[in-house]
Amino acid sequence: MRYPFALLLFLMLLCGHAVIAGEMPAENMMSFADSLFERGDYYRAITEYERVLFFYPDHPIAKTARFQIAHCYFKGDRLDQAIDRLRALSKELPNEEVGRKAYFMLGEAHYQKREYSRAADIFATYIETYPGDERIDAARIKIGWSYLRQGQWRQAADEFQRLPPDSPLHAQAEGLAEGAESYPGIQTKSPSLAGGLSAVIPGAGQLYINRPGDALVSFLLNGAFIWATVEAFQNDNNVTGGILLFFESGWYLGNIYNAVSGAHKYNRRTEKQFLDGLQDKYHVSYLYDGHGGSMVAFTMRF
Amino acid sequence: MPIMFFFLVFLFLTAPAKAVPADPWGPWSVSEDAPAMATKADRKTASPALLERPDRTIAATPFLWMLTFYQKTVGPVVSGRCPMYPTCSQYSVESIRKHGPLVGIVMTADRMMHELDEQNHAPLIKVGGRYRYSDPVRNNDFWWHSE
Repeated sequence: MRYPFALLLFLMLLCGHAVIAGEMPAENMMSFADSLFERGDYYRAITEYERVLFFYPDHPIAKTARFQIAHCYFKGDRLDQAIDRLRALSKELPNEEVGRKAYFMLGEAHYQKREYSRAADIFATYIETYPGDERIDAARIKIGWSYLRQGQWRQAADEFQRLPPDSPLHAQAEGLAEGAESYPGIQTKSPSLAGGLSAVIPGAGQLYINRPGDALVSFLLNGAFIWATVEAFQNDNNVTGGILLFFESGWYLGNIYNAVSGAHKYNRRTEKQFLDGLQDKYHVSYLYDGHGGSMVAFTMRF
Repeated sequence: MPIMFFFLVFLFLTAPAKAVPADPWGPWSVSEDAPAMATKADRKTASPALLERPDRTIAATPFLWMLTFYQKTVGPVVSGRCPMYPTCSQYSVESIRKHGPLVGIVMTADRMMHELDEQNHAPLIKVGGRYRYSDPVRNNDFWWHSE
């Protein structure tokens, strides 16, 4: 009885030692984090990349882990956190590949945040700082897109045309430049005209911006309240008239706001359709895989 | 003196409520494989006023009381009819909180007028087991108010 018990204790000690010796290497930790990243579980992937940083802060893989944390925030639409991380990384490692990638992605994060002017500045600095980098052409296209998103189609076209003829993205840039030139041809509606029309005849501005349903509701509501208000005052029912006038003021101002807002929405939708169509036709993206590798990809619909 | 009084009333009515930014931390995910967390789509369609609890101005309070009264009494009876998200009464609450009572009321009137045509453009989202057309306040003030 005594010997089997001693043997069991011995085995337990051996196993315990094996567990300590089996501490996960950095590559395995990274691999697990990457698998979470690939699945799109960015929140958990960040924890695993942080684990790599905690246990192996001086390991060469730690820099990639830091980039991947920022990448997780970027992919997870946590752009403010991504920007903080990417800025820190690009400042600390400006002469390394991971620092360059971080700076490029910093521009993309600002672009995603619709801070187009800031994004264009970053991509311009990128071109200036890393003139021989493989991402230069993609950065130039991103600058063009940033201008285009701000409605600056001339600058956008100029930027697209600056791509050298030997660039693999040249044909795409030519198409984008041509598309940018057609930007002024987008059919828009004048918000002030829409508001003015609705101020004169409720519903008229809505008709102008192709919203017949809104026009009908606006015309009937305002018509009914104006008629009721006039009737109340003509019958010396001033209190009722006052209450109706108060409500009619709301409807009337709402009618003008509705026309102006509708024109802005129409213009936004038309512009978005134009830009989305262009992006769909000449899509370019700078892709990063789960291991920090990168590639320029573009698709062209014809 | 009356001009001063009306000016003060105008300022009082147009003062927007102070917004408290939502906490950016806490579990989140954009993956359907991580079901315990809010998805990206949820966060994008969630009404900011539901995520935040901004302060109220004194002028906004009576309007918000009336709207709350409506939501608690009449709302449960007729709420199923509203095809929009947030519902018109909730939209009104949010616009008054965001821009003050004067602009909030005008925006509410606008919302009630544009329900019909907005359904041709607004994205459909599933809220509480029912599909509704998403039309948050930011969809109607983007042209003059930056978030």
